[in-house]
Amino acid sequence: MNNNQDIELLLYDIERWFDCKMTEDEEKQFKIALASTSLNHPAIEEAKAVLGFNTIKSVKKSLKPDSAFALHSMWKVKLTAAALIIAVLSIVIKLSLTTETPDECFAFVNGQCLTNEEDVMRLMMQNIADLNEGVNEAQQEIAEELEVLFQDSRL
Amino acid sequence: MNNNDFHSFPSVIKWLILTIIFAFSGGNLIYAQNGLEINSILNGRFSTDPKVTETYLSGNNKFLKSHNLTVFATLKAPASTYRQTVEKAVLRDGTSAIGKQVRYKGGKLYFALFILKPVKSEGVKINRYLYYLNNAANDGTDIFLVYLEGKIGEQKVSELIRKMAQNSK
Repeated sequence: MNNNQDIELLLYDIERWFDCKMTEDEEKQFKIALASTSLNHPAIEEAKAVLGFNTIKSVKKSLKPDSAFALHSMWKVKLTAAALIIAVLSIVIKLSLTTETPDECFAFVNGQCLTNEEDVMRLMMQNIADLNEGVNEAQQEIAEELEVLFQDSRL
Repeated sequence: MNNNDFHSFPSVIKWLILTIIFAFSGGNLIYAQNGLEINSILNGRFSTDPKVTETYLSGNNKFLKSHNLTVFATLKAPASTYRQTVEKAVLRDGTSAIGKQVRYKGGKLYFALFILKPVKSEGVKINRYLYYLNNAANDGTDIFLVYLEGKIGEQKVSELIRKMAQNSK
């Protein structure tokens, strides 16, 4: 109850102050009371703000980047960091990708793996020999058919 | 508010975009064989089958270096078991070939020579060749797959295969 009465009294003083109905002494007393009051009311907060009693609080609040300047600075930092990370990653990837073809030499025959180069070469040449006959025959057939087509087109 | 911050702000964005472009498209291809379907065949996949013979050479091998090759792989496998799988992979890789010799017999792929699109590795052009033969179409029993990769030219590839066949006799 006392609280409500105090609020009413203070609100009355605030109204008088805004209407410039206070003497100098009354104004001094009013400012002291307003600065030291713990009462909570929107009109009290407004009066405090007008008199500059809320300045320190509001500066502390804006540690969050409310201002456009702070926001853009943070963006710059984040984008720069992201660009650096991507640049480093791309260099690492590029280095790992451009390694030479690894040395490999193996053959599988009869379910076994051979790594002796001579054995691998021997098997490779056998495979090629078997392939070559068929390749020659196929390419011969293709050439003959093309020849027939060419002759037909001349007739 | 400092006006200079606004001027530099767009340049950071530009730098970021350029860096992203570099990161994802500026690099060279890893291995030229990457991206080919036959990659899944010439990796020992059928190696446990005793009827399959597969060979694979790559890297700083003396034979390869002397013929300007970086990879030489061969596969011989029974047609009855592996024809479908290998043929499918070969034809898929061959769709984007820059040179082809293809022959069908009895509705099946009998012979194919694909000159695949060259790739660049560390600024060097790597040619790629793929041979396929289905001997079963000629009373044989096997299919053959040969893959070559390197700076070697088309003419030299044919000569090499001919020479190797002769030397093996």
